[in-house]
Amino acid sequence: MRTICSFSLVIAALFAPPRANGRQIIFPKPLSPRNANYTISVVLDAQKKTLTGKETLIWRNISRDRIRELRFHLYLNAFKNTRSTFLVESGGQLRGVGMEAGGWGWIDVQRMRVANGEDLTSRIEFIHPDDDNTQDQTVIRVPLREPVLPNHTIALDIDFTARLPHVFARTGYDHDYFMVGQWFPKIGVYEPAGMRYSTSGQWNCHQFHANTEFYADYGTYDVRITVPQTFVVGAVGVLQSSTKNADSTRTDYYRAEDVHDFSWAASPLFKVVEDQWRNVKIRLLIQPDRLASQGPRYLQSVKATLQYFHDWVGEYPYPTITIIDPQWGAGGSGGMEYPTLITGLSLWNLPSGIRLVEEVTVHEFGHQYWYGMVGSNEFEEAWLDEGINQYSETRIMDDTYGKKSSSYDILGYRASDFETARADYAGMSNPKLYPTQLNAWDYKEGGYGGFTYMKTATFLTTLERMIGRPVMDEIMRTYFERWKFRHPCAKDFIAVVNEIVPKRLGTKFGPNMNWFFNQVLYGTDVCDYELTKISVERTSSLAGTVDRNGKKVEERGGLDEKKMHESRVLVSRLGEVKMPVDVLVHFADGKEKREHWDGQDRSKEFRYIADSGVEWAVVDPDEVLAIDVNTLNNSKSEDPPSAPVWKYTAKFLFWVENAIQLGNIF
Amino acid sequence: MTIRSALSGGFRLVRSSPRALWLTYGMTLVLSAVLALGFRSMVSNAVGETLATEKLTANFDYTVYSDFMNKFGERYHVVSSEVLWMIFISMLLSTFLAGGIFESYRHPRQTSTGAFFEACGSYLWRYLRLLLLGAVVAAVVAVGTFMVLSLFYSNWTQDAVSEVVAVKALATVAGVFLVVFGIAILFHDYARVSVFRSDERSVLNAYGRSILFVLSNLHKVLAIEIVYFLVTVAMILVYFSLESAVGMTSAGGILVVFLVQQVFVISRAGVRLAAMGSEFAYFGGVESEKRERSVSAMIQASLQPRADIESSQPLPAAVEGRPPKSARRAIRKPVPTSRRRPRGRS
Repeated sequence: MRTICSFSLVIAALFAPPRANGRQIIFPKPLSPRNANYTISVVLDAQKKTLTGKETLIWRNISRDRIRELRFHLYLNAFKNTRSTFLVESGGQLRGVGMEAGGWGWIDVQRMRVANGEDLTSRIEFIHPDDDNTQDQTVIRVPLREPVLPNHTIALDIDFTARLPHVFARTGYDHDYFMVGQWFPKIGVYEPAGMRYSTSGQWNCHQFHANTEFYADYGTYDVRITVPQTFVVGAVGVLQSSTKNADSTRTDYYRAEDVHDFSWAASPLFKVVEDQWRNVKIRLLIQPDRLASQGPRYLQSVKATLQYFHDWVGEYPYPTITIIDPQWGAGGSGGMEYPTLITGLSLWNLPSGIRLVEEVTVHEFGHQYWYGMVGSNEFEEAWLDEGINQYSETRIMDDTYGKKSSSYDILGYRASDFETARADYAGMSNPKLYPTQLNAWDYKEGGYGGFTYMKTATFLTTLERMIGRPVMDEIMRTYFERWKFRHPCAKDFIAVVNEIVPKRLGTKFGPNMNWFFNQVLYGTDVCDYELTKISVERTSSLAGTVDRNGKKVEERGGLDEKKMHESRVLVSRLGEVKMPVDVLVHFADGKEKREHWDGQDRSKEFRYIADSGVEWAVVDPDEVLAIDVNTLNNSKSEDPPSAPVWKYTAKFLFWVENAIQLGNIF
Repeated sequence: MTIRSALSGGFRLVRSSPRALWLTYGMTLVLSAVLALGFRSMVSNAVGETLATEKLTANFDYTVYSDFMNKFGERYHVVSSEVLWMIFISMLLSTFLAGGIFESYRHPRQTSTGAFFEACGSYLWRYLRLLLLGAVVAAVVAVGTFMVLSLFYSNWTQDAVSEVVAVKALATVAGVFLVVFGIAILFHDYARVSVFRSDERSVLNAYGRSILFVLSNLHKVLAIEIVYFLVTVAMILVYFSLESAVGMTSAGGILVVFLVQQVFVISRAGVRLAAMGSEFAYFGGVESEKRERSVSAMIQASLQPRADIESSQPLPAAVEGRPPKSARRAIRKPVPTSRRRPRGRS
């Protein structure tokens, strides 16, 4: 027995994760540059809704520049008062959830000093690099007496206190539920010349805007969270230890590696469900009332998404994924992504035909790739993560839950995730208002969601249908492999497309795909092709002299018989976006002819003399051009179907009859 | 008067008055058809000769729907917004028909077309005033109840951390609202019956009387309405299961479902008329029971030996086979309006 025990211990020791300084090493070989490493101890006062934190940041200068100042985000000051840029731009609401009176949030840096060195507190200065709002306090700069030399590190000790806002936009509290995101002083990204669009070294540290999200460097996080003992905590990374304190609190220690943010949630009400997908531990923190009906939906959808991304794009390297189910009244914290932690949305007994839980879970998990691992700049190029992720969501949802019913399928009404995304773009009051490549805070007239999420999903689907799914998959895999744990920009994605498409398809679409992105990404025009007209006239067969085999031949034809049909099919380009497009022409005798048009001119006429006339024709019959804003005008028929009109007339009649009967209660 | 007899009475009255049913259904159909044909023209004109709508035959297609609404949504809203006018017109027409319907309830299978419409005309002005009064009262009750229930809901859910609390609170306030609002509607319904049965000229008096009647028989009048509500809910469920079973996926299916829809609309009209019939029967039954009770009470009272009356005095009239004068007044039935001399004529 002893022998067996000793053997077991040896085996366990061999296969146990490596540990250093009492903590589990998650990745023995770093996946990222790890140039922004945080050690934080934070205490939550659940009554006062405050955080008291001590942070040690070890930042490494990975550029060749001498860095003379540091810049930090103080995101929670977005909720400080009505003069903050966030509240001015958002009007105190986000995604339909409004701010509650008195629910202000803020963060104060009480002390900042170089470890064992100079106190920098008095040098802290609020700046506002994006606008002239002097009252916005979401970014600070800290001039340094001694510059940080290339490849050198600086260690800073930062003491801070913060009050969480009543949750309405991602972070905050509601009763005893806490979703703690964007909560600690966080260093910006230093972009040396040549990185993304920088022509000279500069800090990329934007204010917190209504639409913008986040951009940060990768590193490690060692975070000790002290909460009341009755609270259940979920956080980014891997739980290392949990210690009960004498004052009825508990300190949970989490470590995360190769991530660029850290958030956590706490509530005494959470029910914990654990599951496993391959080596990934899934931890769901769900509201008790929803456990039975919604819990399995969360787990099924996150596992399906893990599998899909694994097969499609690449490996999910982290050992955990935590899902937070926000409580009733805290929906503003739902539908949010952090590395290895996502927040979902659900409701007690939500019918399975309404796939809200699945949609949000798939979307937020997708951000583990497009935001988490591929660290694009969400402030300046939101489409690179939100848009590409929306495209991923539509693919996964439609492939997993049905091509025409993945978004909802209830009472005979159904829609796929892609259809709703496309409709959100095509149905915008002005789909020409802004380009997709735009700073997120510059969507001043609205449309951020429509242009960054939905238009991107629509044009990437168009691209996929043009070049074929295998080529598109290769693009996505290459982009991920090349840019994971780095900071790509739009031109990097386009460069991958321009590399793969000619490699696989030759010059079918020209030497590169810039023409595509110039229109759909940088341009504001819309795509709309129309089957304008079909005309069929009787005509006689060929009569007259014809050159045949070098001889003049007399064709008698039938000038008076008019047995033949002359058909004309006119196709028009109503929008400014030019795309190659096919036209399918169907003749009365059942024959079909497929034409190809480069789509450059305003219109194109196809003319046929045949035994039968054209019965119907469709421009873009394979629905390649998902970005076409109006599909109703893509076809024409000599004999259009009347049944659908009667069907909906009958439905309308029935609806009005019922409205009259309901209104007729007097 | 029992609930069961009121309910069976209601259905019996509808069965014996098919004219009322067809008129009510016809009115609904014609008003709806005016809009539906406009809708059809609008859709046909908008989609033109496209093949895209073909996808809507077999199933609902969100892309076709969303593109249609993007391009022609405003036209659709112009047509659908006219529904409110149709509801208003149908309320007026129902008010007009109410007198005739009650007349046919009073004389099942015997009311001629002329008598039906004569009754419609005779009561129209009173019923219009009653409609106005009922609408004002219902609006006041609805707004007042809504405000009170909103406060109640806010207090209940203020500290809620689960939507289950909100769902329970919402279900409760919705239920209470429906009952209170339903009672306000019943005031109007029974006031209409009261005007007809007692030929009351003052709608205020009739309304006041109806309030007293409804409140003093609350559990029974509510029970009758709840039965009809449940019947309607059951019909809706049957309709949806039939619709999904048949499916509007082909020309034949569209036709069959259209017929099922019309049967449903006729049935709903029938249920509404049956509810009116039950109210008519119940009101009449309770009133006559009350009269009978008061007559018997008076008879009992008159038969009671009194110490101050000497035995040599003659017996009261009732004992001799004739009720006293006051009792005779009480049991005299009201004369039907349509057969009464119009007021102001000699």
